Amino acid sequence: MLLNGIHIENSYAEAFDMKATRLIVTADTPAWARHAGMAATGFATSVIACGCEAGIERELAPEETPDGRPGVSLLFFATGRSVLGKQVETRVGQCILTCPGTACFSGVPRGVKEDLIPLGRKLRYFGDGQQMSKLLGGRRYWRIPVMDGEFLCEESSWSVPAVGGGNLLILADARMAALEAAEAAADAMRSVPNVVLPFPGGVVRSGSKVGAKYKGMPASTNDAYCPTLRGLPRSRLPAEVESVLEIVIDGLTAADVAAATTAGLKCLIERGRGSGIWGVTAGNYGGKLGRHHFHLHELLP
Amino acid sequence: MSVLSFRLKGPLTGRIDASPLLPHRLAELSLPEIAALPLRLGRGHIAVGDLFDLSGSPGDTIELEGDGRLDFVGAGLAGGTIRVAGPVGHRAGTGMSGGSLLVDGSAGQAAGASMRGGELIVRGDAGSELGGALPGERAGMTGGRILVHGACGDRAGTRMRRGLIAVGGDAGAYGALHMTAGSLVIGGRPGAFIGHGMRNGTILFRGEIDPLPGFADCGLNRLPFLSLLDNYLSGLHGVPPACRGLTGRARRWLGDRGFGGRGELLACL
Repeated sequence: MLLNGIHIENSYAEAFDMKATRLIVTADTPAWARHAGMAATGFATSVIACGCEAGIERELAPEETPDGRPGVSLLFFATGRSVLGKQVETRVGQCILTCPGTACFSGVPRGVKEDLIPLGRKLRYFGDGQQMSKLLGGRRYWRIPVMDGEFLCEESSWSVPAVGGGNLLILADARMAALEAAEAAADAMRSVPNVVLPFPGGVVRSGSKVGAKYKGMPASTNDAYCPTLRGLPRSRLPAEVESVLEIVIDGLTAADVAAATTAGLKCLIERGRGSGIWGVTAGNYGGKLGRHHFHLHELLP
Repeated sequence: MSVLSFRLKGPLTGRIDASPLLPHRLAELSLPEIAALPLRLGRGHIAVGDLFDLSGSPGDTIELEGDGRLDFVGAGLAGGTIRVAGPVGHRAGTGMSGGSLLVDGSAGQAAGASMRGGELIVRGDAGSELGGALPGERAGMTGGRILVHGACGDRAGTRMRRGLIAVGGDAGAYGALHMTAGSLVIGGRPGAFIGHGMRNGTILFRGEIDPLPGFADCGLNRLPFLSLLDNYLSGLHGVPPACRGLTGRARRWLGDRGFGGRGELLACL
């Protein structure tokens, strides 16, 4: 299919069931909330080696947060509840508890015991007996004395079902054209609620395929989309394409991932062939690994 | 929503135990059956129908004409709403576990004592032992919230271990005596010996005080938790205005250290 000169391949992104949670982090200024959010969601690009995928969903105005201070909303995704709990606990303990002036709250509705993600429930022990708790409106908060005052932290958050691994591949004439297109598409996709783009700047250049010729490598480079290997029989790239970039989408529901995909497609199609974009496709594993399939032709704006 | 109204036929000749008048206990009865229910009057009994004119239909709401000699109003309330036009006597809402008791007047002694859940709102003043412990009970209030717009008497929140008491006016002496946990918010000035023997929990009030010697002065602090509490109070119905508008900055005392306690007194600015 050719739209505004851009090839939209009849392909689909294959995404997986995951577990996610949302945290609201507030601080005295938007900048310090951002510092905490950046650190807590750092080194969280792919579950392959980071343990979880995470990102800043959006910035929050003071009137949107529980304690009336500026904040950020963070989304964390992992393959299961227990690994998600471990990741969130470590990250909140090392990156939010430590950041000046911050407070941390759950950003999801109260769930059942089996979905519990401990926050203050474990971090309170840092208070060495001087911590205090408050139960307000059915939610328990811990107040832990720290050197700049108190770290206020909700006792727990909850995991919710989520979808991770939605993606778009941008095929372009040149590296800069691919990069500019990816930046614009990532900006458009970030405006969709309930999603994060976990890679640096939302963009990934090292798309992977399942397996490798080497033992012990669960994934390896997606050689069919590497322009330097364009001449090989298994290459999927036409001669004009010199650079491919991918945007990975994690969302709380399949509908959120679909909405972000549509927002990305809309942005890319509007930029048109003149901007150097040759085409758009999506990555999948033959449809057998992931339950969620996002067909590009069905998600066109 | 069905409302059942009780209007007093005349002046009371003695103290009445009004505890049987709970919405969930009356909901299944007909008006004649309710009129025949006995209420304790002094050492004897009187039928509901001889005391009150009944109107409306039994359901989840009761409207009661108040009187300072009606005791135990809403005691043991587990659900539904009781609205009282006028004052109530002693022990209103004791042992409540749910529902709402709204008193458009003052309350006598021990209102909301040993409360476990639900909401008690008193538009006037409350007597002593507000939200305290019933005689023989180890713990006082263990849940729910008590919102008093006026002042309260001595020993509010005795042995409290969970929940919220907010008093718009001044509080009497020995507030939060032997408190285990929970929050006592005083919009006015606290009385003498506030927090004596407290183990944990929070007492908030306005202005400076000279606390008991068992409290360690931790000076002025900015506490994000106060903004959270203020937001929570703003979202509640019926909170006395004097208890709102916490700035997030407070002078903090820790104690009662004479009892190994680490509760806090917060003088909010």
